[in-house]
Amino acid sequence: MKFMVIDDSATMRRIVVNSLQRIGYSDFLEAGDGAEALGKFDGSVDFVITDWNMPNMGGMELVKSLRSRDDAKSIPILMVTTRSVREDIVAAAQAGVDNYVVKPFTPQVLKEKINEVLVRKGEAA
Amino acid sequence: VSSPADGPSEDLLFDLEVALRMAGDLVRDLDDDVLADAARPSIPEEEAGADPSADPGSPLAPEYLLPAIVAYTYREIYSALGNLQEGRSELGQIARDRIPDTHRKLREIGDTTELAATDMLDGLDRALELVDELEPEGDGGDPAAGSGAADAGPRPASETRDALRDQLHDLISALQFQDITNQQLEFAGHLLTDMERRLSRIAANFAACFPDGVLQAVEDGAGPRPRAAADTAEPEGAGSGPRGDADAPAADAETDPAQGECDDGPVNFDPEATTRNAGERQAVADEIFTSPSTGEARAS
Repeated sequence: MKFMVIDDSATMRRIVVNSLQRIGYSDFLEAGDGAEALGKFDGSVDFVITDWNMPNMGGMELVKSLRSRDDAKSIPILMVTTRSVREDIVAAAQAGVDNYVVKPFTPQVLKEKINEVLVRKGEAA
Repeated sequence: VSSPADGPSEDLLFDLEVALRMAGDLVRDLDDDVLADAARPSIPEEEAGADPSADPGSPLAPEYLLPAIVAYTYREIYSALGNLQEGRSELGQIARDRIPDTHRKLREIGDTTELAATDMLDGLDRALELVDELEPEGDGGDPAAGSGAADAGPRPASETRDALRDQLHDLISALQFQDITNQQLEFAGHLLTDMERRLSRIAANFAACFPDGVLQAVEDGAGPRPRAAADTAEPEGAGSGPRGDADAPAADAETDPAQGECDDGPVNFDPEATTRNAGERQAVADEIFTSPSTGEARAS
């Protein structure tokens, strides 16, 4: 499974990738913001993990953009962010985010939320 | 109501307003006769030559000119007072609402970095103990004979390696504090920039109340002026004489950095970013994402 990890913090991208490796995944694509992610996105990506606050194009705009594309309308998207106000989380869900991880997170939480999405998508398929 | 958060900027503006009020009252109290005496030329009339101001009937004559200047100054001081009051109110609101939050965030950064450093040092200590456990294996000795295993008893080397791997992964995860504290610093920096912009606007309004060269003459005699007025506050209307466009800048973008937008464009930080209560905050997200209504919204 190929993950696309989008975060403007290089430190956070490395931490997310490291956590995914710890969980057992090994195929990654990275981007520093939503615009770069859209440029790199192709049919090989199976799962998107994105931050919310980023320059150029934020996570919410990226999610809406992906959900409007035929090749990404059902791709699993996990938001990993510091934003934890209830209204923000609801807005993310309404925009099309499949699950939500609040920073700082543990690899265990990341694994749980990824699995929840995969199970849900698997059941829906 | 005054609060510690009002700070030096509030005090400075208050003092300035009081000083201008006193100056305005003094000007108003000046007697016309006193003004006329003060306006009397100190040079002999024969030395005045053809200067039109030497003609007692001319509107440029000192006895007419000085009261006109005083009246003009009086009017402009009251205009400046209006701008200052407006600025005080605006800055006071910021000081009350946002500076305490910024202080709290800066304190949290200190606490967070100290805690993270302690966690990492503890983790490194544990990792070193695990390396000590493994060391004899590399030398062909007992794989669990290291000092760290002395109390817990011998355990397989593979288990020790797994423990060491987990320990090192935990250390990597602990570095998330960098992203979060960076956002907190971005917030504090953004607030300072916003305060500077607002102070500059007040300074510009104030400067626009005076004719060309007046403030410069004062500044030349008073040493270097503050950066806010000197470098960023050159008013568009200042060069067009008294008042100019002084009212215009006060009405421009009123933005709140905490709301995500500012004059510099979208912000790249979460104003509420924190390392604290991650479990409780995750529970809120879990509740929303597992509720049937959220599932229905996603499905639609």
